[in-house]
Amino acid sequence: MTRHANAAPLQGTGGVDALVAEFVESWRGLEGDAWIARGGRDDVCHAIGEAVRTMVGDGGPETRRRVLAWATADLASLELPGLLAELGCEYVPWPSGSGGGAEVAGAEAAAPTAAGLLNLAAARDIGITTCSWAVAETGTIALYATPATGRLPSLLPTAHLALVRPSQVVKTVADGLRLLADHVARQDGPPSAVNLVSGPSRSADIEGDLAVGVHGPRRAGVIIGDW
Amino acid sequence: MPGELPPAGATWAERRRRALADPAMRAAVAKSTRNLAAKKEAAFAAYPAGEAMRTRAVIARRGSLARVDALLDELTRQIEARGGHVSRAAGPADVGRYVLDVARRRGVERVVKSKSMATEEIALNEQLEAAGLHVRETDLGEYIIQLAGERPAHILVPASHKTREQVRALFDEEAARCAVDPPTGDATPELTAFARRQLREDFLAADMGISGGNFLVAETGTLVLITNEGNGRMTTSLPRVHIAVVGIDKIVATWIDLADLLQQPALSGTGQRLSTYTTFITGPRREGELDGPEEFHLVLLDNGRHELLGTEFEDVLSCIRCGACLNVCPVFRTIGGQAYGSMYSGPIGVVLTPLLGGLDRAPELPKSACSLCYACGDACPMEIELPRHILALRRTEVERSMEPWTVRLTFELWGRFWANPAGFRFTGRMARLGQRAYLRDGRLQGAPGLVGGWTATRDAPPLARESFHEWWWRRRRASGAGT
Amino acid sequence: MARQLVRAFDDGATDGSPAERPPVIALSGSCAAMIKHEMPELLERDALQRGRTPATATRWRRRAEALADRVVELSEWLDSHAPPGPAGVEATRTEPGVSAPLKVASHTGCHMRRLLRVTEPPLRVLRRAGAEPTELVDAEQCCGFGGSFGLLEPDISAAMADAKLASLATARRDGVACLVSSDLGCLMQLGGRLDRRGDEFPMLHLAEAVDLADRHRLTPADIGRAARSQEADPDAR
Repeated sequence: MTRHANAAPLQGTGGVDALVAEFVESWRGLEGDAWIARGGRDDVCHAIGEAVRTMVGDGGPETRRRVLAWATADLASLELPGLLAELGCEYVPWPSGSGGGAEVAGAEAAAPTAAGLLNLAAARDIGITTCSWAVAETGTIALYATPATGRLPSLLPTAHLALVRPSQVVKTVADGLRLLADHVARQDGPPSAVNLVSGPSRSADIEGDLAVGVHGPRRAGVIIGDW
Repeated sequence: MPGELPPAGATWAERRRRALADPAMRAAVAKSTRNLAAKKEAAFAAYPAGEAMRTRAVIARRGSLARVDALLDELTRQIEARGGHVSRAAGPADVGRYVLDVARRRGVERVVKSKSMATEEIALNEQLEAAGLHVRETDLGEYIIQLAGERPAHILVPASHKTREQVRALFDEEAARCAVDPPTGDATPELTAFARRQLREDFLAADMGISGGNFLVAETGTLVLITNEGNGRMTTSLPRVHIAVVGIDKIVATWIDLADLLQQPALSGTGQRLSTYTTFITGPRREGELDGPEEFHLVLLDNGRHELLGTEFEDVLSCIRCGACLNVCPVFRTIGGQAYGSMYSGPIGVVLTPLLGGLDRAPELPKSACSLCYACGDACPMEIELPRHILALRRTEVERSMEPWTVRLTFELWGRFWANPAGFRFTGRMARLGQRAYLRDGRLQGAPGLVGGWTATRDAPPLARESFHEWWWRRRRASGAGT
Repeated sequence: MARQLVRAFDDGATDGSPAERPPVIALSGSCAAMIKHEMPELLERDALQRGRTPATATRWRRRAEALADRVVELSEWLDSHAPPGPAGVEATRTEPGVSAPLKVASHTGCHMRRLLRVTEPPLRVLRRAGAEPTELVDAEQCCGFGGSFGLLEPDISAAMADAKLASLATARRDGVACLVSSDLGCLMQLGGRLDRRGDEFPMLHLAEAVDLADRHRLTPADIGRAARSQEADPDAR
């Protein structure tokens, strides 16, 4: 894949904080939810709790919030199964094609069939993922499809929450595509699917009036922090 | 080889009459186009980087068109290397045959579709339904017009001619037909919730997803989908077979070209910096992946496009289907999209419909659907010379004697008389005499022949008692000549 | 007709700066645009189609370009040749005792707007004439004249005129005294539609407005008289 002459991703002036601020502003401008967790892992976990409560809503003390989350090495240190169980959520990990799938007390067994997986994902209240990079100027997160990072958690559940590290935020779409070019060079080709997501699903097909949550998630949230 | 478009359905006179007699539609279209045009302007004003990308994108598009065949070969190699299938379709029947072949092989009964102008162009839904497949349009606007049995009224917002009351009525009917709960009201969230529920079932039960494509990147064999609703992602991720039908003109060479193009449809179409979901698809799911289609097929549609390469109309193939020209066109704002009798309406439709389907398919468009105000040329982000092309098509119609003999005769006589001063003066004198038959209250309220078109709906001032020349020479003689 | 026009203004000179020859003032933005933007190519193509040699065709092109270089639209010419106006904005050209500039609506035709790119000069000329011009809502939307389009599609053309007149109605509620335009086609279109509806709201060509202002008669009463007058002779109006 041809590389741009200036292959290093630009961070813009003002450094990471400025980029994060611009990203959050853009994301919120698109009706997305955003939490900034400055205090490291603990803060991120706290934010996850807040985000799940806010985005899935409160149906009373007996509310079971059903979660479908990626279970990558990147997320391991957050110990999501335990954290989400404490929050009263039903946690299901994205079953990795290479025989992953954490066995945790209280977790539902992931259905192995395609149809089963589809219906499971569609019945979830919130999907949790990380992302590969984020674009400040447009309020965008990039999700690569791999065996461990499936497409469905960011598509079918009613809400989608993405964890973003500050260092992943770049200024422009072109900057992000340069990162994709790096990935393509390393992996000898692009992923089977890359999804650039900019806020929750929307349409203006009815009298030009903005409708949010048409087919994709009704609520799209990001937590920016390091863990 | 020329292409083939579905027939217009009704005569121009009938389509025009229906359009002008529909105030609700006209109000909805005026509101929608004004809104989108303003959004585009505001988006570019706030985002100089977008304009910089746009000018580079025009060059990238033109460059790709100059090398289409080589790029399509590269694209094919890349897709096949990743386990995808590529097929070339000369026209509508080829696409239908290919899709039905795959459907038969894979036992497909239910199809979901995301928005694709190319599939409308070849009437794919009709072909599939005739073969017994159940086809569901999932883009909210396309879903609405599918329920209504209509054609799209705008390239980007196909149901923008409908009021919410009309949409609710359609949803109520569908709810009754499916024995499900109808929408709880006609507020946007309620109507949307109904569509979301209904279409989700279609998504989860579908065997095959058919999409269009906004761009194709030859470098890696990647299909680019630009959507806002999420139905594009669902159509191309959930069913086990995905077929993309894409015009050959959508090809770009590299990701660097794509980087400049990627934000243009959103910026010029809806005033967004990037559409909500921008998806890059390269082949089917990979080993170890648990979602995504098992099979990926790309059908490259020609349907008259190849023939335009190397002609004065080649830039028309740069169109990114943003609808910016529709949103500024005063004729489109007056008659709405369905009056054009083509899935491509507005200025781009005036040009693309005859270029793809032949001038005989839509002879009225270049001369009757355009007042030559040049707004479209200014608005097009790909700098397509729409007004120039419209004029060229008009010229072709004259050269092929496609005008009614009355019109031809009028212009010929007019040209002959006014090509010299004596003839000009003569017609002036004759008209001054002849107009008396049509004067009423000091205004011209009728006229013979072609000019009668004017007085059908407007008065005209009468010709003055003396022409400027007569007045001028009278004055000079009276003042004793001089200068 | 185009060949005749070129001949009529041809003074035989084929080189030398166009600035040395008198300008040709066009009274309609559309006409100016046609001559400047379409005519050279039109005449070259036409010559070839009539079987003339490429050299002859190129000669026609050059002759048309020589004319095009000399053509200037009226408001542009007035704007660039304006004598310094009366000091301040006191509209000494309105009725004695009335100090506010006269509100008028201004309409710029499509070809003037998009081919000539002349939009500010008419406004400046009108201000200097003691008027306060405002553009209409949806100013950039075509009025529907369109040349042959207006004859071939009377219903669509009239509907477009009606949309423009609806914008004008808003301006009329704000108190504009007339509509001024530099385009005769647009004036005929909008005036003709108003006449058909029995509405006598005055339409003026920019030249008429400037002429009235020069004679200190840019008043609603005089405007109304001038708009209705059939007289070519300004002294008889």
